[in-house]
Amino acid sequence: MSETTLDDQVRKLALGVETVYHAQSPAAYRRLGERLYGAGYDFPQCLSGVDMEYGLRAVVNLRRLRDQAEVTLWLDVAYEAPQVPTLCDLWGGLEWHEREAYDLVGLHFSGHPDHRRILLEDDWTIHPLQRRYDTGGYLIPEWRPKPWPEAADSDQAPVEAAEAVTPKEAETGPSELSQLKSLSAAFAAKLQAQGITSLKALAELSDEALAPLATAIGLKSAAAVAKWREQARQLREGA
Amino acid sequence: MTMLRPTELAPVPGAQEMLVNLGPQHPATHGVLKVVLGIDGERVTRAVPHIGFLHRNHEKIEESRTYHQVIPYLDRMDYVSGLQNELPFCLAVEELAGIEVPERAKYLRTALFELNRIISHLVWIGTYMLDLGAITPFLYAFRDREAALDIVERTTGGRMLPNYFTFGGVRRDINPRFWQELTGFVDYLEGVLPEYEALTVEAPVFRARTVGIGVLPPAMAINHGISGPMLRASGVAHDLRKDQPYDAYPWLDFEVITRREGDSWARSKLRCQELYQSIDLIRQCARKAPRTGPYLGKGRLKIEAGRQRYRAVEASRGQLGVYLYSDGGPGPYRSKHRSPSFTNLQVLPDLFVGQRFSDVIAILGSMDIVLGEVDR
Repeated sequence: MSETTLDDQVRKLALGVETVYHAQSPAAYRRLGERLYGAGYDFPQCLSGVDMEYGLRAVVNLRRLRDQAEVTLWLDVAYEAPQVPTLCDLWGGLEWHEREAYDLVGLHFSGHPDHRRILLEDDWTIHPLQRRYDTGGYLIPEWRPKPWPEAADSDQAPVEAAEAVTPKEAETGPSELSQLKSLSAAFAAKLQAQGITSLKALAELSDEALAPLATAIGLKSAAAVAKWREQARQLREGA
Repeated sequence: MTMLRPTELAPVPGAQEMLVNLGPQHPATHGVLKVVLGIDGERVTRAVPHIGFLHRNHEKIEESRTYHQVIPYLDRMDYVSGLQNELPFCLAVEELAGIEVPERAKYLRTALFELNRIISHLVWIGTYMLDLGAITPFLYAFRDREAALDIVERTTGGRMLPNYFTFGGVRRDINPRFWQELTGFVDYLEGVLPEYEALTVEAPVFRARTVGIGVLPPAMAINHGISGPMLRASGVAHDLRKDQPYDAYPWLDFEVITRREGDSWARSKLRCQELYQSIDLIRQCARKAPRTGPYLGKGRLKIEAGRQRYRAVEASRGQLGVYLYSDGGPGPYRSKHRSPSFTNLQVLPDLFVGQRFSDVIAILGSMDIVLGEVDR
């Protein structure tokens, strides 16, 4: 998966007081994990497995000790393919939590160095925290999986995941567009794909061109593009 | 709880190795922890911890209970500090359901939370000294802990399994002499603590056994999610009472205690310093807490479907958290308990390997684990 598509692979949800990054594919989950690690989220708090009744969900709670920022990461996988990329090479503290999620919930962590049951016996056959088992560990006869939920509705703004979690990432982006503070590497690449390759081209955009360009790179409103244009103009005047 | 894999039994190159089972019935493993140790002479060449002997799967039981019915189960996770276990679950539910907690209840919960820290640290100091061969501090510590447990019992009705905190405050009102008893106890404890300290952490024999033993580097501690006194003894000033204050902590005046050394002695000394800090916090609570007012807030316990929250508190062993997911029903759809002992135990092989066999117990004791919350 290339750099530019990560934003499309992650949905950002605001659930009450918490912000959640909902990865839409295992590869996006892994990549987002690497970005969060690079963005200074150094303290692994918790990894939980949840049986959603249409599939299994891995939930990772991370903390950045520098400013006590918290972030939550989700990945939904199907019962038939419960493979989740491991994150325990980034945060060693998740190693046992991943083993526990495998043991009790049935998630499989690919790349885990020690993928064994941890609390139950090795020859245990079920994953007891799945909803299809009752508290005695027996199959519930009337249990049926739910249908997989619909994909994200189209009017939801695409997540500027890279921007939100790694403000410094823009500096590594290509071309002189990377001088813009609020522009992520992913969006810089998208702008380039639309033919906006320099600060000059961005600064000389007309008002009418803003809205079509925003649609083309997947933004809901033209305001963000206008903001980048304003910054580009200031930079050019300064130079 | 797993069998040893063939790779774990494979010989370490160049070592004349003998495998030794430490536990699960060893008294110094504080419950039923089994560690398979490989020793070459006096040196530990490998350590494989096995857990799960106390596994009860509270999380599965909680799926079929209502929110109120969950609380008694929480007491039984870390049975040394039962009151502390109840708090993160209450905080998470309060935040999700929007229940307000009255000021008086906040001070009550904070004072009891700190009293529980004293109880927990007294158990630790007694049993650790017992592990290292000293009998007398154990008797002193458990005698004083009994006085604290009496206060808990008179307040909550339960000695170690109180079932007292609830959503919006506490379950029943305190007796009129509560604050007087509490300050009386901490006054007494403050008087005897210097003597205990001289007997234990400052004793030359104790220092000889713990200084420089089991050093945990700060970067490794953070990466492995270590929390509580273990993390702060490695020089990382992370304390959720300061960093994500809950209940009455925003109104209390205290500093996060850290030490630089990161060894077993630093962890021990830091817990002793925390005892003084808890005494001070209880005094502040007793001074500032309103004497009248409601002890239970009003609110409807209804959480919408799809809401979730991870909420953690700084318990005596570290970050004690709960991940709660609601499907709109009367109880938690899923609640995962992040227990500090479980996470802290992960660095055990890193701390053991390369040390002398006789230091293994000194390191394990300084980690202060409770197997009830490791296995849950």
